[in-house]
Amino acid sequence: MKHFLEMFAVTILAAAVVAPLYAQDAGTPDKEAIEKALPKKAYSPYAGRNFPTRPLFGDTHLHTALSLDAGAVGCRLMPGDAYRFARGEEVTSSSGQQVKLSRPLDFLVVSDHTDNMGLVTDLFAGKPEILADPQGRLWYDMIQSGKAVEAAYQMITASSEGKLPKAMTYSADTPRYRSLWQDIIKAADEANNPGRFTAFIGYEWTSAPGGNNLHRNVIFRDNGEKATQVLPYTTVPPLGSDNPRDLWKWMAAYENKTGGDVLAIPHNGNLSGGRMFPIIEPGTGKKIDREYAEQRSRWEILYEVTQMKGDSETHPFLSRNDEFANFERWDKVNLGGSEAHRPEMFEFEYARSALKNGLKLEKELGVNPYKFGLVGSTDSHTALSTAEEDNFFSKGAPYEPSAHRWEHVFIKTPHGTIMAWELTSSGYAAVWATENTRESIFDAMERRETYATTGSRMIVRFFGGWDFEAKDAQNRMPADIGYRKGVPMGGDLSAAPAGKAPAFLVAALKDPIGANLDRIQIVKGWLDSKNEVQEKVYDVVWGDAATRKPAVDGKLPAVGNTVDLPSATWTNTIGDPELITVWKDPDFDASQRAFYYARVLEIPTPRWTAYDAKYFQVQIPEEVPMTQQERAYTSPIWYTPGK
Amino acid sequence: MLRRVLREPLFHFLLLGLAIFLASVALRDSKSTEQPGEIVITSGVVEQITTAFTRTWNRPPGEQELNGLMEDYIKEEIFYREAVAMGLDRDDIIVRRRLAQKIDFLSEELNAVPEPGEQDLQRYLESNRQQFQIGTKISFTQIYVNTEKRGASAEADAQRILTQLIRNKNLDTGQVGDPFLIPDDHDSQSADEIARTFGSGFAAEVVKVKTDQWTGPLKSEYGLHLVLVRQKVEGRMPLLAEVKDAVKKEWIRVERAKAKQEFYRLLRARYTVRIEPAQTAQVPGKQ
Repeated sequence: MKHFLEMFAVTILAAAVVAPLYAQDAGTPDKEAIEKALPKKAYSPYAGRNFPTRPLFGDTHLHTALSLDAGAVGCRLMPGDAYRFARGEEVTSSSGQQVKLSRPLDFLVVSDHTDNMGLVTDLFAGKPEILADPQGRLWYDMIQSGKAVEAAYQMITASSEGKLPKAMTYSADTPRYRSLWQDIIKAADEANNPGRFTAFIGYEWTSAPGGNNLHRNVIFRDNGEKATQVLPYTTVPPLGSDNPRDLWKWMAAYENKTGGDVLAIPHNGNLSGGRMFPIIEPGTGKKIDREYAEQRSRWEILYEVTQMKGDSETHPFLSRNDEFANFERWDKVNLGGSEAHRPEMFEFEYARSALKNGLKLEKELGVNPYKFGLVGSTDSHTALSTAEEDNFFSKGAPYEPSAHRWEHVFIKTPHGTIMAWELTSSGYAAVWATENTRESIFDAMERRETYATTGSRMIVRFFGGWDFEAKDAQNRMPADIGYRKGVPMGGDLSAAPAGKAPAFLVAALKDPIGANLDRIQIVKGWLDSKNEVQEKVYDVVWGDAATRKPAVDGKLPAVGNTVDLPSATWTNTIGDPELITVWKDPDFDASQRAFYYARVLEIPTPRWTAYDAKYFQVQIPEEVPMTQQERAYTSPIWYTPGK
Repeated sequence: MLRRVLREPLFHFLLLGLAIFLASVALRDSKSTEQPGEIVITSGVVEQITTAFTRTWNRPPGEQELNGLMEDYIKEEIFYREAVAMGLDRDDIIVRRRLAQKIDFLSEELNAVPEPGEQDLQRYLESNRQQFQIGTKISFTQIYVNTEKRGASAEADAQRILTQLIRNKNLDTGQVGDPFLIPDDHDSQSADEIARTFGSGFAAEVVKVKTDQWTGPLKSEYGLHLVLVRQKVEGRMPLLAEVKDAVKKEWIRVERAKAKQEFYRLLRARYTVRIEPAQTAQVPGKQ
């Protein structure tokens, strides 16, 4: 079993999000009912503002039984189940356990792997064409005789090497592939319930040349009418390609053909072998050009910075002065385990250094290829979008809750081993959309008004402008003044007025059922006068401020830890439920390009491994972390000097 | 009664069986009646063979090719009949599963449940009231008092603000209370939605507040709140017209599952199952 699992891991390709539906409770009431239901004009004079007032939480990366790897290792839940679960209904998981979210999600993208989509469901069903092939027959017999895991591993390997027999190659021009795409669209359209729950049509383009993860999730703003006019892109030639430039061409062709709108979200730079955010383009060996920068910044507006296969914000090697950089780190090997990591790769794998290199490339090319906003998502392969530590159904069906799931080997290669306990219970995408609809959420994503969380549903506001003053943090309605005097997360500042430095209104409110907040930090990256990239992390506001003061060296003392491991609980007796401040950059130079984003930390809480230890009453060795600090990363605000 | 029969899965099954039988007879050519030991190649079969070849090679088969293909067909048919006669289909797990699956697909086809009538949906709505019940919706304004920042005086401060709010109807509510990331005004929110924003304790309290008068302070996960409920629309059962789509989706989902289950139940009722006691000793030579 362990053997199989490690193979499974090899191909855990990409991520998806599924959108659930809510039972409709509105229809066509009579006139009287409508008048009765309409709220009277709000008491408050501030009513009627048209900016988003509540973040919508969702998952842009989720797999179901249709994905080769997910299905091969035992996922039996389909897109319809994934949507039902995300909108808050109780379902039975593939391992037969009842499961429900603490609260419904607002939106979901089901993003199944397109390569060989549907193969595994046909194989389990014993489709004659597959059985007629000697290799297909062999795998089928292995499954029948209880060796499903080995079979799955062999198939996943063959698939990623393009060595599947012809009868088992489900390329985009086969009838089965077409009909599955129709099923996926139908499930999303049926689950989509504007105003209550948004179900996006989407897929994952699972490119991993040489085992290096270049995966992207593609999300449609449109409904089935447009999405059915195309077939989702794959990575195997001649119909597909593993080069991102070809995916961008596919996206442009879709928009030209249908008048629709799509965007792509890459993920797991941490498993890309230094190829997710290149300066030298893999394959060509040449420096990326203006065309690459233009296309990438046009289509890849967001980056999935945290998920079950680790956190990709930054790495201790890159951010040596950042005491919180070492978070849920997956840095031993690339996705396929074919290559050990070397430190010089990290620069091209993590979001913060990509944002920094983007400034440099912008100066050279005139376009910033890495001007992306941030979201989190799960990449779960169970059709269950679970990111909360006390409700973690994990990465794949074999890792759903059980007493010994933590001790399995997840990836084992000559270059490094990743254990199942290293799986991360993360994350969600928070979107500042005005309405819960495909259009409104998609448009908010396009303006990067998003933030990533590692599973918490804390509220985070981040505005930048030239005129924020300390007293704005006392304003009764921070968002109101934030939009009036500045730009929200994802926005731009340029050409600083003489003598001014950018100021930021930043605020966070804890998850109503979650932990208090430790601190808010602002991360600044910039390009200095010697054309070198720099970074600095500022603690700007923190909990227990009356008694907790920075030391002489400027370092803020740790917030403390209330976690009781045996009972897997904590108390909100430390930290603050809400933090707000205005921070002005003390080191600003108006001639240098820069970006700023906020990072919010919760107080320590039990990690999923601690909930496992308590529920199953198992001893877990000390090397396994049992507490963690949930966090949020906002999309940056960029500063560009005037000409 | 007739309606009941028409809905019966077994009836559908029989109907479908008949249809398949008729179709296969038609395909074999109406003139020919096959005798035992006789293999009849109808024009339908030839056409099938020709089409399959053409699809692969982009041209029709030549005479020799067609003869060869027909020989293959005949051989396959003979082997198939012999295999069935010898019972080989029964101990092959793949054939077994494939056939079982065909029945399963068949039952799914059959259970492409008919369009529900108004009456069906009305009945479903009535017997699943809880699922479709429209919850109480509350529109309210809240003013936040930060207990963390105000400390011991928070409660008294909240009382003082409450008094101001009650006395002065023209008070600018945006000028009292503390900064808060959650907006003051909330319109048409269900108790669940309020709980998602403020926590369940606050939600349970706010639904009890009388309309049109400032009340509080109520406690939430975040601190204290003074609350004015501007409007409260009590929960009610929706009319079918308001929720028809949702009811229909559910009805179809449930009916489909029921029909499949019923179909299996009817088949299952035709069998008795005897489970033999486990053998205590291993049979020699078997693993």
